[in-house]
Amino acid sequence: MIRILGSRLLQLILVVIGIGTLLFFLVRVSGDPALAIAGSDATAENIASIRQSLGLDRSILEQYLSFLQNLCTLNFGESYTYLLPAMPLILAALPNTLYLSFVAFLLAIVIAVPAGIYAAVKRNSFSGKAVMSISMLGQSIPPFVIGIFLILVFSVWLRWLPSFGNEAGLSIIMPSVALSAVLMARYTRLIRAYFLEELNRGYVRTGKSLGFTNARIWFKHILRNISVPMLSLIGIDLGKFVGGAVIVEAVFAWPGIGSLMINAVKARDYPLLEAGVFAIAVMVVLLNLIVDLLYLYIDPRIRAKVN
Amino acid sequence: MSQSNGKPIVEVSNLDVFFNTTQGKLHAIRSANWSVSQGETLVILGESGAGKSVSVHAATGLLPGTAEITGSIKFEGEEILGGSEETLRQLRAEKIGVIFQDPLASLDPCFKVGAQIAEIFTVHRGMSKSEAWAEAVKLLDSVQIPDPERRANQFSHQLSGGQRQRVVIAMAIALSPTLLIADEPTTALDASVQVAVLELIKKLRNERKMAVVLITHNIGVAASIADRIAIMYGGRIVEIGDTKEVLQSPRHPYTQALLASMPKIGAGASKRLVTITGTPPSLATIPGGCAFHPRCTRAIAKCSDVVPEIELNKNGSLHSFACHNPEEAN
Repeated sequence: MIRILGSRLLQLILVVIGIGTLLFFLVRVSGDPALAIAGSDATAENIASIRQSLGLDRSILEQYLSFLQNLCTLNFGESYTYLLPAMPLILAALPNTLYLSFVAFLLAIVIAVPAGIYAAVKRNSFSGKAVMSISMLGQSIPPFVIGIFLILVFSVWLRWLPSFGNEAGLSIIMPSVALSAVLMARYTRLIRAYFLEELNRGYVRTGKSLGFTNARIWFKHILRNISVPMLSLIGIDLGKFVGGAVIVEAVFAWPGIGSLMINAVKARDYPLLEAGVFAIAVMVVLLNLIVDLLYLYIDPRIRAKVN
Repeated sequence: MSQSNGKPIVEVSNLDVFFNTTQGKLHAIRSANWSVSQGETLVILGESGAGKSVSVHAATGLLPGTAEITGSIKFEGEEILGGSEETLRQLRAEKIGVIFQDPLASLDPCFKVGAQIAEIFTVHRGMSKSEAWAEAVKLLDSVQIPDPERRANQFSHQLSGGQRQRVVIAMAIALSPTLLIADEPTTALDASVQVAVLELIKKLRNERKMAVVLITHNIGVAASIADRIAIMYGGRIVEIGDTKEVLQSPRHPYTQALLASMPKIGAGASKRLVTITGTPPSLATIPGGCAFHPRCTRAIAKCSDVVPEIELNKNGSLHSFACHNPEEAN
């Protein structure tokens, strides 16, 4: 257990340094933030003085070293656009992002588990195949398209749901549906495939021979067994999921990290970008850690290897 | 050895089983007749693909949904063929215990073995978790697992093959079934463990007065536990009778050939084993007439045209066989 935590901590440090470094150089070849701040009719002196005040006139190595220093102190400096320290801005937006991601993820699981099992059990009937077709569709449409479609139907035509922000309780509905659609579809298909595989296992036959109901065999035994491979996929998906969240937040003007990051990219707001990427990297590594610990809880064979 | 004068538990008559496959309808079991009584052990012996498991699992409802079953299967006097899925489930829960070949696959890898046994009691007997657990530990003790308390807390991958099979046996007998089906129960086990597991099945049968149907391809296993033996070939029962009679005085040439192909201790290394030429037929390509005739040394003209019917209780004899040109009785 201690070993896992230790190796995860080391991984976290490496990931943050690696991603931070990549980002540092990427944003610096993307263009000059001074130009963006100064506006289109600024003089050369204006721009030079902005560059100086931001510390961008220093050599790239100097800038990199001070970036590494910032990483260690978690102080990324002031946002160029908001003129406030970048880290607190990100931390203030973090709960909204976590809230959206959590609801979307929960939605995906709550729908995909019964849908996947249904598609597996009814694999030869029309309804089972229909589930698969719908999930194929859901998997093929990018989240922002689903988002815009939802806004069109539920905000513009029906006027049932707010189209942006996080003011009312109902605001969460559309962004979470848009964000979870791809995952929901993907998990439905995967759960179906895993489920079909498990149906032929000996323990399923044993359960039947003991007179257990199908519901008990499916939901207690098979579900427990397929949660092991499902978990490993969830671990891989988490990073992608955060990427999807950024886009969906932008579509719905959801006040989370994603919206901040999009603005930061547009304005070449280096400190805000760096703080945002740092927060996302930490989040993904921590979520992966939770997945690893869940593994130990679910699969006794893995537990045995660790101990 | 126990006596076969108890009340009949299962009576199968004129059983035919078909499977609907993409290659058409396969006739897996052809007019099978067998029965087993309380306290009695019937062994169904044959090569792989002879239809041993199918003929037995027709009675448990564990055949795949593509199976079509005709004939009659009576369980404790009541017809169960054509009964609802729910009736069969109840029957499996209360009356039938099943032991499968591979004990590792039979157990759920994600739950402690104690919890898997306890689940039977919580589901079917409405016990509380702690009562059920205590009952599970008692049961592990009764199938001779040493230190049952500790073993109950382990997972299937932590047990040896023999212990796993004991756990599976414990699960099968948990609700005191009247019928125990053992489908190749020793095939996946080490030779030394095989004997112990067979002894355990015998002991439990005698204590609990269960009817046992044991499926095997191993004549040694059959000889050591069976009261009666049914020999299957190509989806048919070709010979059935008391163990002693079938093994000492086989009448069907296939039975005779099976016995001759078994090595005998003391026969000397110089004596070559007799093999049966050819291979057993697959269900899709069972020859016409007697299914065994292409491999049979005693085949006569009639054998390739007319299916020999098994004559049950002919002249009051319990030893029956399906052959036009049987071996001489010893």
